[in-house]
Order: sequence, then C-alpha cells, then structure tokens
Amino acid sequence: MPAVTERGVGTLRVDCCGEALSLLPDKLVYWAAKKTLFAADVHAGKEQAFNRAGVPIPAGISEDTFSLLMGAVDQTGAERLVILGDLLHTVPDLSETWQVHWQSMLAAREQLCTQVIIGNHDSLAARRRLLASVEWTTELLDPPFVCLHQPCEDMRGFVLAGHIHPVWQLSVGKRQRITAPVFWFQQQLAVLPAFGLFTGGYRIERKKTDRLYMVGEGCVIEV
Amino acid sequence: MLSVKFHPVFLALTAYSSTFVKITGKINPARPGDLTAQLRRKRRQQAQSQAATDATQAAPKPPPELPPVPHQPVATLADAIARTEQWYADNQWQVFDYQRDSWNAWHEGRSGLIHSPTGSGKTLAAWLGAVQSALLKERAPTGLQVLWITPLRALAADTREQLQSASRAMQAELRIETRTGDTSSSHRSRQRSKPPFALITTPESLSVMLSYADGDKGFSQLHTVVVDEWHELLGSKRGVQLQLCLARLRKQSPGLKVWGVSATLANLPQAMDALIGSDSNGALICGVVPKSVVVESILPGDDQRFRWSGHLGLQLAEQVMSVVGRGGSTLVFTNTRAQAELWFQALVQLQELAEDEIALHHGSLDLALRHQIEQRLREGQLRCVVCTSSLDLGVDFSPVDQVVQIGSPKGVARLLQRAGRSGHQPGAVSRIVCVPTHAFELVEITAVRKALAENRIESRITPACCLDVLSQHLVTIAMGSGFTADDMYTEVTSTAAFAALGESQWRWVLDFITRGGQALKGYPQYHKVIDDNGTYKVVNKSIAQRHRMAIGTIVSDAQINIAFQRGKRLGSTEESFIARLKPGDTFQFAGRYLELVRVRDMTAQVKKASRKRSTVPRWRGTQMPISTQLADSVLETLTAWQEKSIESPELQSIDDMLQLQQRWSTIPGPDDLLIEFIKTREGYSLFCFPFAGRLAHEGLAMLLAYRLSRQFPMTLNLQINDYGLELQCTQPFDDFVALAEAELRPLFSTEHLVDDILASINSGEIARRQFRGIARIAGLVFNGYPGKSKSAKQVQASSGLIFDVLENYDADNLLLEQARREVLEQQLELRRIESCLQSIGDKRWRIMQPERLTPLAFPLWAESVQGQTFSSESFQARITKMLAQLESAAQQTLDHASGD
Repeated sequence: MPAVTERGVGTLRVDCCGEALSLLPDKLVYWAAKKTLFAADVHAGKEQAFNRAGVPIPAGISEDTFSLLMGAVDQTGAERLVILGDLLHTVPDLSETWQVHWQSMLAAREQLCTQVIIGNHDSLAARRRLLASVEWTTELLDPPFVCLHQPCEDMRGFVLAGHIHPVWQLSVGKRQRITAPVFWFQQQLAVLPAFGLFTGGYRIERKKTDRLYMVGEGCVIEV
Repeated sequence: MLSVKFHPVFLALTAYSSTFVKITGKINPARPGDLTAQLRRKRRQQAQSQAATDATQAAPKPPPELPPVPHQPVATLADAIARTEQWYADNQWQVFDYQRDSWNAWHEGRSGLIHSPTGSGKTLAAWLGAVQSALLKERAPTGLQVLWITPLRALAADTREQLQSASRAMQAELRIETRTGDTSSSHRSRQRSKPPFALITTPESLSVMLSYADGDKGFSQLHTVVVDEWHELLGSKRGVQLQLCLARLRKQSPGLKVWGVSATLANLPQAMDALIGSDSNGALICGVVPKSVVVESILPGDDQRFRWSGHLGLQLAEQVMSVVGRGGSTLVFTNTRAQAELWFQALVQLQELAEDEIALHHGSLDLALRHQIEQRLREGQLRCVVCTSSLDLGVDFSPVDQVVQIGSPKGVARLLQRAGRSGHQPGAVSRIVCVPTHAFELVEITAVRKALAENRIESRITPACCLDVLSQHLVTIAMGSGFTADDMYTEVTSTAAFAALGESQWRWVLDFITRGGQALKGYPQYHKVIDDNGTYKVVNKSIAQRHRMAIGTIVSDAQINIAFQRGKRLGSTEESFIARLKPGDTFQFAGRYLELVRVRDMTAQVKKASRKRSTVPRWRGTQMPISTQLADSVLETLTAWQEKSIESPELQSIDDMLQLQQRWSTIPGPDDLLIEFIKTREGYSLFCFPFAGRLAHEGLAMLLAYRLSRQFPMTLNLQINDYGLELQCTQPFDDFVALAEAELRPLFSTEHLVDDILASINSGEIARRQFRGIARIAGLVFNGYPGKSKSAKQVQASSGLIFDVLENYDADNLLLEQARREVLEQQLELRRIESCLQSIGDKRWRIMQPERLTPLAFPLWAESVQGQTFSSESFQARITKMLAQLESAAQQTLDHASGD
C-alpha cells in the first residue's frame, strides 16, 4: 500500500513496497532508485489507422507523444524506459513518418535501455517494424515490481500495468464533478493512465482500499 | 462430464424434435468439441428463429395483396377529375377547394406546399394529381414516377395503404412500394430492376439510393417528389440532407415537381422555399380552416398540496384514469420516454383497465412491438396508449377520442399537433386535457390557451450551412454518380440551407473529403474521395461500405438491444445505462419489470423480474425549450393575474402559491426582470428570471458566470429551466449577495456578447458535447455495427477525444467552428439571448433578497438534472476544494453519529 511521502510541485512521490515512486503529471511513473521511467498505452500510429479508414485525424500526434516521452526521459535522467504495453496501435504503414522520428529520438539517446511489454495492440506484425530498436518481452520482473500489460495480481510482487486507461470522476453532491485520468493503486497492483495523446479513458469504479491520484493541468493530486 | 454438462441442452432440444433429429445426424461422438460447438450454434439458431417468429407474430400481418385492378384509362384530364369527384361522392366525401387547387397546380407543372390541419385530406391533395395523369396513359406507366418522402419509416406502410386504396378506387393500376432501412436487400434489388410507380421512403434511404453508382438511372422517369410532414423535417439536419437530395434529383430530372405537405407554421413562405429551391413559381396552398381546439386541465384536488417542482406529476394518475374512463380511446402524451414508462406503470397499477386495453409506445421500443400497438389502436382494441412524440405524426390512420398531455407542451404548434390526434373528422372539435407536473405549469396551461386564442404559432427555421451534412452528402454523391466541383457548387447553393455557402467554406469541405483537411497534407494514406481528372469519386470499397452504414443525420448514443434470453427483442436503450447495471439489477422497460441476466454481443439479455422496485432508463434526448410565443404568453398571464383581468380554474387553484411569490418576492410581468438572492444550505444563489426558455438561459447563465468570475477566481454551479437560471456559489461569498443593480447591469451588457459567450463555452463542456453529432455526421466517429470485428473497433474513438485532438492540432478545422456556431445558434439560441439582453436593459429591475426559496426559485434549486459548472479556478484549487467539502461532509456525518 503506497503512502504519500512528499508533495512536490506537479509530481507526487508515493511509497510503494518500500520503494519511492514519483507520479509525474505527464502520466508517467519514475522510479529514481533504478533510474527507470514507466509509461503505459502509448498507441503510436493511432491517427494513421484512422486516416487509412477514411477518418481524418490530424497528423503529428504520435510525434508529439514521443517528444513528450523523451522530454520526460531527459528531465528525469532516466536510463531505462519501460513501456507497459500497447506501444503501437496497429501495424503501421512504412510511409508513416513518426517511425523515423521515433528511431532518431532513440538513436540520440544511446544510453537509454527501452523495454516494452507486449500489449494486446502490439501484434507480431506490428512489432516486426520496431524490433531492432526496442526490447520486446511479455513481462518484466524487477523486484519488488512485476511489469505486465493487463493488470492482474501476481505472487511475485507488486504489479505495474496499463491496458485499462483509467479515468475517475470526482463528484460532490449532484452538481460538481470533474473527470480526469488517474494512477490507480490497489492492494497489490497499480494501473497507470494511458500516456498517448490520442487515447481515451475508461471510467473506473474504486474500492474503498484503492488509492487514486488524479492528473491534470500539470499536477497530480491524491483524491 | 460433458454429457452431464449438456444435459439441459438435450432436454431443450427434445422439445423441438425435428431439430433434434437433424442434429443427431451430425453428431460425431469421437469429437466432443464439435458437438459442443454444434449444439451451441443450433441453440443460437433456434433462439434466432424463435425471435424471428415472435417478431412476425408481433408485427401486423401485411395487408393481403389484392388482385390488381385493370387499368381503365380516360381520354381527357377533365374525365380523370370527374372520376375523382365521383369517387368522393360515392363515399359521401366533399372535395375541398384546396384539393382541387392542388391538383390543378400539379397539372400545370408547378411545385408547392400544402398546409392544412391533420385529418383534412392533405395526402389525397398531394397524391391524386399524379394518379389522374397516369389515367391519361393507355397502359399503366412503367418506371419510377413518384417519390414519397416520409419522416418516419413507421409511417411508410400506412401511407402505402392509403395511396394504394386511392389509386385503386380511381381504377389506375399503379404499383406502390416502400423502401426503408427495414426493406430486405432482395426486395431492394427487385425494386431496382422492376421499379414501382411510386416509392415511399425516408430521407436517409433516399440518400442511400443516391449512393449507388447506377442510382441516377432509376430516377430517369421521376416527375414528382412529395414530402410528407415537411414541418417535421424543416428545422432539422434531416431536412438539410433532404434539401441536398432534392437539388440532386432536380438536376437529374429537369421539370421535377416537388410538393410538400405540412401542418400550419408561422413562416410558410420560407418553408416552401426550402422545399422547392430556387423555383419562383411555387404554389402555397392553404387547406381547410383549423378545427377548434379545446384545452382542458386536470387540477389537483382540495386535499392535494400541489408540488412546486418535479417533472412526473404521477400523483394525478387517478384523475388521468378517470379521464380515460370517460370512454373511447385515449392517447396520453408525455415529454420523455422515461416519463412514459413511469406513467404507464402508474396507470396499470390502478387496475381499472384490463391488461390488453392499455399499451406503451415510444421510439426505443422494438419496431414489431410498436407496429402491434398501432395496429391494435387502429382496430379499436386499445383504450389507452401512453406515448411520446413517437405518435405525434401519422397519416390519418388512428383517430382517437381523447388526448392527454402530461407536463408542459412547450409550444403552441406542438399542442395543436397533439390535440389534432383527436376528433379526426374534418370540422370536429379537438380536445386536449393537460396534466401539470408542477404548480407553475398551471400558469402555462392558461398561457397556451391564451396564445391559441390569439393564434400565435411558432416558426421553424432551417439550419444554415451545416458542413457536416454537406461533407456527408458529397461523399454519398461521390460514391454514386460522382460530381464535378463547379456543377456541384451551383447545385448545393441552390438550396435554402446552403444559399449562403461561401467559396472558401466550399473549398474547405472539398479538401476535407479528399485530403482530410489542412492538417493531413502530405499523408497519402488518407483517400476517402478521389479527384479523378475533375470528377470526384469514391473507389475504396470498404470506405464506401462504412459510409453507407453511417448515412443519416439522426445522432444517437451507442444503443444496446434488450431481449429476453430466448431471443424475443423488446427494444433498445443507451449503452451507458446498461453499463451501470449489474446482473441481477432490475429496471423498467417496455412497460415491464426486467432483471438483467447478462450482456452479450451488444444485447442485454433480461428476464422477468420478481421484484417490483427498479430504475427507469434515462434516454439522452434534447429537452425542448419553451417557445418564445408561449413564454411571452406566460408573463402576460402573470401580469393579468396581478391585475385580476384574467380568470381561469388553473390560476385559481394556485392562487395561494402566486400570493406567496408576491409576498416573499414579487411576480414578474413582461416589463420586469426579477432577480432573487437567496442563501441556501449549499451556498449563495442568484436567481434570475428572464423567461426566455431553457436554451437561451443556458447561454445566459454561462455568460453571466464568465463575466462574474472574470473579477474573482471562483467556481459557480449553473442551473437552468424554462423560466430562469441560477448561479450558485459554493463558498460563502458575501460580496456576491451584496451586488447592487449598478454592478449587475454590466453583466447583462450586449457588448462583446459573442466573444464572451465563445470564451465561456470554451471553458465549458458544451462545444464538446455539440461536436458529438457533427463528428458522427461528418464521418469522424463511426458507431460500428453490433458484434463486428476488431478492425472496426481499432478506428473508434469518442467524439470528445477527437474534439480535443482537433483543437490542439487543427484549430482551423471548420467543423470545430461549426460546433461553436451550432452551440451559439441552436444550443444557446444566441438570437434569443441577444433580444433578451436588449430588452432587459429597458426593463424594471426587481432585485429581491427573500429569506427562503420562492415558488419560482424552488424548481431551479431542486432540479435534479446535472447542471453545468463554470470555473475560473485552477484544476488543483477546484479539486482541493471539492475534497475539503467531501471531508467536512464526512466529518459532519461522524459528528452526527457520535452525537446519537
């Protein structure tokens, strides 16, 4: 069970299984002790999948998503990046330029080790396109944490997962309400909000023992 | 193990022995896996065929096809008209002058609009011209000659019957068919190869017809289009879509006659122009004088204290039942589907009618069920039908003896239309009994009677330059015959809806459908419409298929079917409602108590519930605002009450309440603006009563909140109804209450009105909400088909998400601009806000500080519908404050508990 240890500007530090985790307003988790940054559900190339189907969604969203991610890597000084599944939305077309952008950004950070949990969107055909630059794996053990895509409790440790795109509605009385993405910490697992700029959310129902950290306008607040 | 597991299935199967035999023939004992799959499949098929049988049983039997009458031509037009008159005389009907005028105008080759009250023979006026001319032909004419557009596909079958019986009586052998979303594909292809004389269809199905490459060939013989109930389509995007299709048809068939049939409107000439395009020779034909309407009301008894707020009015169920008991058949109209469900149960529970004498009818019920009810109503088996606007329309097929309206009718025209369902014979008196759901509606009933007496009826305005509808239509035409830019521009701007379409907007839409707009440039993946040497075409088959599925402008939330486990379908409801239920929960639907069993493949499987406590689905529909005409009449009625110059039983019964309003605050008249500051347990509230209808009040509330919060960071909760608005401040804020007239006046200024409203809606949710419909019509959001593959799911995103993305990446997207414009014009009724603010300046400001909630303020305060929130505080500040509120509420509960 995490406990709030410190309220910083924007980021929130929580204690999780004796490890200090920073919840960043960019919907990322930073584990300073291991210099590791966690992100979930990037859904790169989603807008292009829409365009192929005749739905015009502006280009540049995937590029910006990566720039944001790499910005966070630089800012935190992370040496390892763990993506908790759904890095890709669907099999990208070769002409999609975000792939070049992604490769060049990774190439510029040679020291960065990128590990990606295979999510339900990361089909084999999709993975082939980016095989060279990242390390694909079905799960990742780094005690006390177990990194998965789909959240489920695991004997081996505290689970960090994605997949759900959790959002939470805070409401007071009948009239006031506010809905925003959350970090969803349960007893033995935590679900990260979706990182991609073109991703929706799923409204979760919380149990009493759950802790929620709401994200918005450059800050993370426990609710 | 397996045999035990599937034992019940075998039992079930033995009940259908023929099926059982078929299956046993296929069973391969060595492969139990196959057996399982087979059994499952079989069971599913059985459920489906059962459902199909249920549906066919429920649906009215199609009228038996009568043998064709021999075509008996006449020599001259005069003979044809003489035969018509003879037929009328045989039935002891009278030919109205307007009917004769309509036929003559038709024979002169003119287009036009016929307006006449329900039940006065408008259909025959519009139809017989074409029949008479067909009689002049030696043999029955071949090829599609007449298109009959109906706004409701439920009406198509009835219309067909009516047209058919008229042409048979005239001894013309004319094939008349219907084509709607329900028509099977084999039937549709037969219609293409062997077209009927007349085809009855909906605007959506007409668009689909135009989307086929050979679509234009089918229309080569077309000479007449009749649009039924044009007033229903005129004010909506469906009407805009139809205008575009009509322009297309006019181009393909020069000399096309377009006729509209409409109820009475205040702006008939504009209504006709929208229909006939740039044709200046239209005939505006006025039918018979409207029949007189008597408005009655049910008053609360002496022992009933009448509620100040609410929207159900169920406490009057017994009185409504006694009206029903007066005899004959009764339609009970409600304003929402949820209200209809509740009222149906309330009336059933009184047990005064046998179970098969009362029924429920609303748009979410299964079509077969609705047909069944309409049929039983027509046959006189039903004594009472609780319904929504689903029964507003109808060819003159089901006259009833009485009409009851639950809650405010919101407008004079709507009341007239509903009242018109009773006393259907020409010249008979229409009666409507109004049932107030809260005290103030009694004033409205008096006011509506007053407005009727003064013949103040509302107008319907056609929406202008809907780029979402235009882009959908262009893709549709590109799929069909294709188009060239210049010709199409001329064609589109010939409609009233796009007369003001600018060149730059036109170019943007072309760009949008060919290249996805500005922000997509350079992405070769996008190819919806191809510019093939100047001809715009759709070549990609899957894009075409998806587009065809999405044609139409009726936007609804994702729907989920409701069906019994064995397969009988009851109807549908919004997915969001079912999502909140857990298996075992009960709810009320289609007049039954149901228990959710499971949700599978977009179907909520239910069974009869034993418990009778349940929730009612809420359908997200737009609530109609009170019309300006009616609202003005309400204010006048209030003044008249003060001056004691009006008397009505309704006003008398709420005299006490009006007295209280006057004592605690004041009663506003047409020249007053009433503002009340009241402290409630939730904070401080400003109530303001401009009587401009709920839409304009929503805009006004946001404007005031924006201007107020510019001075201090604050969060305001907004609440609105048809009479006024409430701004509620969540924290004690003394200055707020102390605002004097001098400080309030600038808040109501018309200066920078549009800018301020735009600024206020950017921080609100409303533009995002409006975008839902636009995104769906313009093809940005694809609803998908039930149970379809993942590939469809991969391109699904909520319109809210797309709105956010476009705002960030393509801020110049004209669809965003359209969303804002629609918000201003339709959602917030900018014009009404403007005129309201202008008049407020000259009004007498009555600023009151009552000690408690007044009869006018109470309904606003008690409004249970989610209001808007307006905030100029930061995300963090708002959340912190909300958390503090929750904490203090929790603390209070704890204190309270320990104190016990």
